[in-house]
Amino acid sequence: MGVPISQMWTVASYVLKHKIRATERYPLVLMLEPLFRCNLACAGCGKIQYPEHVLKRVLSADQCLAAADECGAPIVSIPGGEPLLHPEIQQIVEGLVARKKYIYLCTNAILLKSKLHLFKPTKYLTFSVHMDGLKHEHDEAVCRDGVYDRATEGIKAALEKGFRVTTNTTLFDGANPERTREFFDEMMKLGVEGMMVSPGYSYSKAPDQESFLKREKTYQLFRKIFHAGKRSWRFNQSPLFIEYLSGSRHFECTPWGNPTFNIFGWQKPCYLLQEGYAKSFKDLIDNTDWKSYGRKSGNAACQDCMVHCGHEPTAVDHTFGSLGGFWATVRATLRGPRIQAPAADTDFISTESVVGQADFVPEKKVANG
Amino acid sequence: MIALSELVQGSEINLAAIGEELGKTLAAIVDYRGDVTLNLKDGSQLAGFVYNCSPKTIELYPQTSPAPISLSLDQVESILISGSDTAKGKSWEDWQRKKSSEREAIKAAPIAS
Ligand code: SF4
Ligand code: SF4
Repeated sequence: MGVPISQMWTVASYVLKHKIRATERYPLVLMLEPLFRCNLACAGCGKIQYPEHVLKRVLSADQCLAAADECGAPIVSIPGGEPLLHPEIQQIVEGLVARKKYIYLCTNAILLKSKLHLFKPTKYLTFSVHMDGLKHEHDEAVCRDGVYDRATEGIKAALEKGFRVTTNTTLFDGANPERTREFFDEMMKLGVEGMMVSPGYSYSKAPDQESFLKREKTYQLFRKIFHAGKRSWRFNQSPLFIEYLSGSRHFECTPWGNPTFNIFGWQKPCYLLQEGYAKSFKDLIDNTDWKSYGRKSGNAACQDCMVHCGHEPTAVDHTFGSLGGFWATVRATLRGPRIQAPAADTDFISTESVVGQADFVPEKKVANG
Repeated sequence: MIALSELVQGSEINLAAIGEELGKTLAAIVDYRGDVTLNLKDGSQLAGFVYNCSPKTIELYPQTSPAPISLSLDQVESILISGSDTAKGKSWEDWQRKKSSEREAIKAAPIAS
C-alpha cells in the first residue's frame, strides 16, 4: 500500500490553492510537539534536555487542536519527546482525524504495541517509527540495546491491525551505505508503507557536534545509498528531496513550511533552531525575519543544514510551482530519482554549485529506483 | 557579553553591568538548558526555566507553577545560573565509551565452566 490518493489530492489541492492565491508563505506540515519527555535518551537528540519540571509539562489536547486549526496545514506531524507518553494522545489523534488532518505520529515504538488499542486504523493516521538502521546501528543510535527488536515488534503489531506505518531515519556521519541499503530491504520486507530519510543536523545543544553530516559528505553518502536504488524501495517523501540530498538539485530552506508548536509557543524560525517564540501562528509568519535563515542568508547555523523539515516543503512547493517541477516529480516517481554515480572518495566534486532549483545536470548513470 | 559556553552553574549575571550586550547575554540564558534563579529588585526570587526573551521582557516556566510567567526586565536585578545544564555530559562519545568498556568487560570476564 502506498500513500493514499486522497492524501496526495489533499496536499496537491492545498498547495495549488495557495499558488493561485499567491500566498508568499504557507505551512505544509505542522510539527506539533505535545511534550519533550521521552523514554529514550538518544545521543544527538536536542529535544529532551530540559529540567525535570519542564519535561513533565505537556500541551493539552485542546491546545494541540487549537494550534492545528490556527495553522491550517493539511498534515500534522507529532514528534516529541515520545508522543505515546502523552496522557491525552488518544484525544489529540481523534480530534485531528475529525478535522481530516493527515497525521504522522512519530514514535520510537517502544510502547506502540501496548498502546495500539487507543487508536483506530484510518487513512488519516500513520505511525512514523524512528528507525536509524539495522539492529546494531539502531540500538547504537538510540543508546539502548534491544530497542530495534521492540520497534520491529511494534511495527508488525500495527501492520497486523491495519494501521499505516512508515519509518523515519536520521543518518549521521559514518553511516554505512551498504548497511543502509540492507536496512531499506528489511523495512520493505516488514511491510511498511514507505520510508523517510533525513541527514542529521548539528544542533548547537546536541553533544555530538562532530558526528553530524557536512553538506559535501551528505551528497556522497546519499549517492552511495540511492544510486541504482531498488524498485522495491518505497519512500514516503518527495523524490525531488532525495535528488536534493544527493546533490542533483538545490533547494533553499522554507522553514515556514514546517512550523513548530510546543509548550513554549510557535518556535522561531524552524523545528531545529530556537530563536524565540511567537504567541500565535500569524505572529510567527508575520514577525519572523525569514531572510536571516536558509543557506543563501549566510547564517552559519544554516550552512550545512539539509534536513527534511526545512527543505522538503520547498521540494513540494517546486512540484506544484512550475510545469518543470511537476514533470520532474512525475518522472522521478515513475522512474526513480536521478542520482549521480558516487565519485571515488578522493576525487569527489559536488555539482551543487552549478545546479539550479529547476535544473538538473545529466549524470553518468541513472538510478532505476 | 556572556557566551552559552561560559554559563556555568553558580555564576551570577548582574543585568545593570552588562550594558549593550544585554540581548546576546539573554539569548545565551535562553539557550542554557537548565534552571536559573531571577533575583528581583523587590528582594524576592523566582526560579525556573527561561525560554524566551525580548528587549523588555523575560518569559519562564517557574519550577513550582504550571503556567508560564512573563516579567519586565526592569524588575530583574540579576540572574543566577542555579540549575545544572541538562545537555552536558550526554555525548555520543560517552555512550560509545560506555559500550566499549562493557564489551571489554565481557571479553575479560572468566568463562564459567
Ligand atoms: S526517541 Fe526521539 S525524542 Fe526520544 S531521545 Fe530519541 S531522538 Fe529524542
Ligand atoms: S536551514 Fe532551515 S531548517 Fe535548517 S537550521 Fe536553517 S532555518 Fe532551520
